[in-house]
Formats: sequence, structure tokens, C-alpha cells
Amino acid sequence: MKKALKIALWEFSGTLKNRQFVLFTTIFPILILGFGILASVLAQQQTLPHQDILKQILSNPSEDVQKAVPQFLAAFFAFIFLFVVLFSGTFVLQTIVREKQSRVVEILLAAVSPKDMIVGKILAFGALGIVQTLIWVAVGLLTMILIGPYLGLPVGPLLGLLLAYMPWGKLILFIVYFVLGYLFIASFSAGMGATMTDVLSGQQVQSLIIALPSALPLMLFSVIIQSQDSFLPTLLSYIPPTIAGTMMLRLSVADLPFWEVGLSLIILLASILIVMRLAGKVFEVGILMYGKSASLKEIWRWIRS
Amino acid sequence: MESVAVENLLQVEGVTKQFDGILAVSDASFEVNQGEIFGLLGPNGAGKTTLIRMIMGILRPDRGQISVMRNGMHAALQKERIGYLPEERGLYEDRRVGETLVYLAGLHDMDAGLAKERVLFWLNRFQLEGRYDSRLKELSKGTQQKIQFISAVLHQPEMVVLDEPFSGLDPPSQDLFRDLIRELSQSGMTVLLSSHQMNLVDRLCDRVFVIDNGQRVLYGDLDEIKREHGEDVIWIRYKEMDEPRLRAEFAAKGITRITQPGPQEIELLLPKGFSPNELLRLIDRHVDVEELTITKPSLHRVFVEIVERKR
Repeated sequence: MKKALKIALWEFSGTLKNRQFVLFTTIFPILILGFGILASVLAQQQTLPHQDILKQILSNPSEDVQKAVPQFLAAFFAFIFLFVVLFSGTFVLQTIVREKQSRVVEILLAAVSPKDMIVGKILAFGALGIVQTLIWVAVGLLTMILIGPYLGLPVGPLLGLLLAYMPWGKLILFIVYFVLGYLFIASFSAGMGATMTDVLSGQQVQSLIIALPSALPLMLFSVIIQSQDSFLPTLLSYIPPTIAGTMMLRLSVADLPFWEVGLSLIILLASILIVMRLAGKVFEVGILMYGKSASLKEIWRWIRS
Repeated sequence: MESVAVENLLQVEGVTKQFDGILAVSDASFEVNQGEIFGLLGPNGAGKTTLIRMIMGILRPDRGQISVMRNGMHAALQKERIGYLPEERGLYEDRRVGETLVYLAGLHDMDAGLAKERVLFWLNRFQLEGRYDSRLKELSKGTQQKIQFISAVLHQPEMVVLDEPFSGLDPPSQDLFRDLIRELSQSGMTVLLSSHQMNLVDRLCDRVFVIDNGQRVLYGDLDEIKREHGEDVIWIRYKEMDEPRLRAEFAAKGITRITQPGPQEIELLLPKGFSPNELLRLIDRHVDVEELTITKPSLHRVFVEIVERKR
């Protein structure tokens, strides 16, 4: 574990200095700030319509408004989850493919176990994804607090409402799903990375296996929110890649029975353990295969061996 | 001379590895002694790298056992105590020399402060002072290889495994690497190195394991192998020679392998048990010699002969 942490630290510090990462992390908040400033300049001539009504609703929120808080929170978490998974999962896969391409992997494997290597990378990029998201959220909040008043946005009451009706218990569950969902997809990415030879083919598989399933719950946002207990949302709650996003959204509209939450968590945990094991196996064989990506048949054989 | 008890450090026993039904290494067994330079030799594709990857614990053997000896007992290999220069070379292109080396030493449990000190020492040794903060991609291939060599020995392992350390190096760098390997061995480090260029390691290794097609060809002390398998090579440049009579006498004594490498030159292999003095008397009668050398066979020659005999 000590070595996994060393690897995590190395990847973390290296990526923080990586130009691509810095650009990607800063350009988003700069855009938010820029648009905020632009909007506030424009708003000097014109304030937001229905301001009074908004204030009134906020000062005496109806039940519907109160219910909207957890929904907003779940959507927010699901959205951030999507970002972190996309960003970090991609990075886990890419760094492994790159180390394979540059042959560094053999030096590493002579010093550490494949498990330490996978865990180190998953930790590093998970942390980086969270750092990146926190920067974005912080800048977003700051923009809202600083520029909101110029737009006539009742920032104080809005934040007050969020805090007053924050579902703290569910928040903890959101975080649990968030972490487990990420671990699942990141270990999957690590295993995939070991079978690839170039970053490009990695990205294609990536979008199919990582991006699509994690985005699915958000794409089905309205379906899940409106009828969380119908067939599709229930099904997605037990399929590992979609568990995290779906459960966050479902939990936001209903208090799900204990067994449903438990079952989905058990499935997710079990699949993480299985995927990590398989990734480790694929890693041992695939990581030293240079020159060509592995076929599905080959991967199957490695797993069985 | 004081005799030193030789203790073996690494033990490879009956190791076999297949890839997709193809036998890469078949029933390999050898021991590497403490402090020696051990050569794992053979042509390309012989199975050297597969063996090394198994020794390093990167690949698992299908059969057999690889262990280190500690106080006369078998023990599992500790990755921290071994250094490794893989055949496939590469480092983090975007990272700096110093931080990369300190990181890799850290993965071998070396303290960062000490690692930095050792990095500076080694950069100095390779006349790469001032390269501590260079990015690796700014360095030439040869220099990168030196940095990788440093990464293998930096953490002062008890054994270092060098897979084809000389390939891709220019002759002066090859000499430098050879000197360094000797120094490491003299300082007590055990060195296991592989090479397909036997002439480069001929006078460097104490003992060798020669492998071809996954099978053992030769194993043991290099001098003994040469004594046992090799025939001394006699090369003569002459002014005049009574060739028919010389050949007839040679044939009578069992010397049949005679070649003519150039004009006015002959080369012959001295059969085992045939004394050079006897040969010289024979030559003296029939040849007006201008130049004559008697050399021990090169490992390369021994290898080629054994492989040819097998086929």
C-alpha cells in the first residue's frame, strides 16, 4: 500500500504540472467567470424578470420547492460523477497505455506489484478528478455570490434553502455511490489499458465502455425522476456501470427500501472486487504484449488461465 | 591465495515457460553466486528475456522455481533488493531526470534524501553533471540508456539484472558500461547480464548460462567451458610452405580442420590433448613462419561449434 501511495503521489504531482490538465481545469472556470461578468454588464440595463416572485417562493418554500433540493443535489452529484469518471477513467487508461508504449511499465513491475500499480493510479486520478471538480464548483459558487446580486439573483435565500432542506443522510449515500462507482469504472479502465497498444484505440473503447454507461442515467434523468420505480430505472440500479448515477437520482425522489440500496451496493462492491481481480490478471499478461492490442478471445483466455 | 566460500544467491530450478504452445524456456536450471558477473547468453529469441522477466517476477514460470538464498535457506525474491535494466528501454519523457530517478529509487524503498545524493554521484560518474533537471525527452538515446542504467543500480541492490546492457550503445559507451559492471561486481554486487553479442561479454563474465531455442547449451565457469569445449586456434602467416607434406603430417596427427583465411595464411584448430610444443616442431619442419598466434577460442566460437554439432 505504501508503494501504491508513492505511485499515486507521482501521478498526482505529474498531472498537476501537465499542460493539458492545467488548460482543461482552468479554461472551464474562466469561461464561467467570463460569462458571469458579461451577464452582469448586460444586466445593468435590465434586471431579471419575476424577481419578486422568486424571492417570495424562497422565503416561504412550498413542499414542491423543498423536494426540488434533493433532486437538484442528486442531479448535481450525478453530473459531477460523470465528469470525474470521464476524466479520471480516461486518464487511468491513458497513463497505462502510455507507460506500456514507453516501456516504463517493465521497470515499475520490477519494483511493485501490478495491484499496487493499478491502485496507485486509480487513487491519483480519482483525487485529481475531485480536485478539478472542486475548483470548478468553487469558481461557480464564487461567481454566483459575486455576480448574482447584479443579476438580481437572491443568492442568500437560495443558498439558505439548499442548506435548510439538505438531505444529509442521502448525501452520505451519494458519496458512497460516487466513490464505489468511480472505483468500478477506474479498475475497468486499468484492465482495458493493459490490453491496448495505443492511446487512440483506447479512447474508442473508452467512450463505449465508460462514457456511455455513466452518462445513461443523466440522459434518462426525467424518466428516472418521474417514475423511479418503473422497470428501466430499477434495472439500471443493478447493472454495475449505471448503478451509481441511477441510484443517486432515484434516491433524490424517494426513500428507497433498505434492501434495494443494500443489494445495489453489494452488486457494486462485488463487481469492483471481480473487475479488480480480472484487471490484475489481464495486466500480468497483457502489459508485456507490445505491438498489437489483444483480441477479446485472448483476453478471455488470460482471464481463465 | 585465500579461498573464499562461494555462496549462491539466486537459484533457478527446472524453469519452463510456454507462450501459446511455443516453448520459450525449457527446464532451465542454474545458480548465480554472490558477487559474480553471470552471463545469460544466446542468440536473439533464445529465451533470455523471458527467463529474466521470470527472475524479476514479472512473468510467472509454468513450471519450476526461482528463489534467492538467505543463510542457506530458500526465500522469496524481494523486489526492493534487485535492480533491473529491461531490454525494452523507456522512461517518462516529460519528466525530469532527477525526479524520475528519485521516484524509482523510492519504489525500491530508498530514502529520498539519500537517493538524491546517489543520483548526483551517478550523473557525475557518467559525466552528465547538470542534467539533473533536464527533461528525459531532451536527451539522446544513449544518454537515456545511461539514465536507465543509473535507475537499475541507484538503490544499491544486492543483485542487478541487466538485459542486453550493451545494445544500442556506441563503442566508447560499451567500454564505459563494461568498466562500471566490473566495478559493481568488485564492490560486492552480484551482476546477472544477458547479451546476444558474445564477443562483448567474453572476458567480462565469471560464469555463463548459454541458451538457444529455450534449451541449455552451456553452463558453468567460462574458462572451464573454453578448456573443455574449445580448441586452441593457431593462426600462421608464412613466407613459404610445403603444403602437401604439412597437410599429410597434420592428417596423420588428427589435425584436419585447416582453413585459409587469407593469402599466405592458414588457421587450424588444435585438437584437445595436443600440445602446442609438438605442433610447433611440426610446423618448424615444413613452414617458413612470418607470424604466428595461439589463442584460446572465443565464447562465440565455442557456441557456434556446439550449436552446429547439435544440429
